[in-house]
Amino acid sequence: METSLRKKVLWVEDDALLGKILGEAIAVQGFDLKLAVTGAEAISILDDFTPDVIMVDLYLPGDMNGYDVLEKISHNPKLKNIPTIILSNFGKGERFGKSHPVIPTKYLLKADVTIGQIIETLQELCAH
Amino acid sequence: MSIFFWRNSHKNEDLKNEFITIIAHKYRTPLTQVKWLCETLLANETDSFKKEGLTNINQSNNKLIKLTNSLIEVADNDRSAVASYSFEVMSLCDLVRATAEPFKNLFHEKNIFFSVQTPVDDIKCKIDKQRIEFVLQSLLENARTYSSPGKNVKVIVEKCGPNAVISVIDDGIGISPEELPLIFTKFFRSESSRRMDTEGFGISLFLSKAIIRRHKGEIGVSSDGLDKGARFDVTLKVVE
Repeated sequence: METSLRKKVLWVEDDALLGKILGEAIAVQGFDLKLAVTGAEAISILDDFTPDVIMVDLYLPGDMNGYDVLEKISHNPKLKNIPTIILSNFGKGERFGKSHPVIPTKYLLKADVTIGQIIETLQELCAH
Repeated sequence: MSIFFWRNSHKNEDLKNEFITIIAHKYRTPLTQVKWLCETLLANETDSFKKEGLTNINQSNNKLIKLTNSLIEVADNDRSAVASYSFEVMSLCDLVRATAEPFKNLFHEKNIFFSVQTPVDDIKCKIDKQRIEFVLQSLLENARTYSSPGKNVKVIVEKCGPNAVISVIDDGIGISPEELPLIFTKFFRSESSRRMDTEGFGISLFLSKAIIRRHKGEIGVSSDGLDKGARFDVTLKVVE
């Protein structure tokens, strides 16, 4: 598939093994995936990469957590309409995942979803 | 003095729950790694022996994930301010039918007759979908675990005035009159349930009661005694 036609995904995830397993599966499905390990790295990637979907973990190394990344995106006119996914092991309503003013398009608990379900969600959000 | 002890015991309880929450969250990452790796390996595996092994690993891992989720829910529930619920108005009948669907095969495999009866007119309730699903799954899992082949399990949804009542009725091992008042207590398992199943650890009914209480509803149990089955009734307010 032409690179320009491929749907673009930015994923912020600091766990190397999860990044590798899911990253490969997403790439195999034809997505153009950029993986960032920290919130700061994600923001820097977004300077010259406009994805179709942004997926973030909540608990990240460095000064920014997943909500900080989403908040920054929500203030950027170029990025604010991009669908977002929180993919975290903190469930909605659990401690870190507790309600926040920035609401993602989808909220997925990593341990509860299969790779297939994540890819379906990405395809669904890219189709809109 | 008593206020001092009350405060300290609550502080200790909070610390204990905080500890459980942190540990349980730490467990979820390696559990996710195993789950996703199994899925990836299964998709490419052609050897039936290896495929069966991977499926078993995946199933055991999913059990651990469920257990971890329950532990987090118990700990968060004890710190009630932490657990936030997201309520939405939805069809109770659709939810009951969808939740019961995967159980049809499970009951069939055990030769238990399973039926779901919902009224023609829909019933709308304001609920936290995932949590009510948890309650229904817990009641159905218990009914399956504690009923022998040849027995019946039925789910009935009815509208009773301003309320909706979901009843899960089985003719399984039943509950003795002495143990009936303890059935929703944290970590409680009746003697007969322990003899029939060693895996449970007595939190699903405790959590179910907490969940239904947060919905301003009620959950009750009745049984005519050992070997005489059990009936669980969940009452929720109907949204007109």
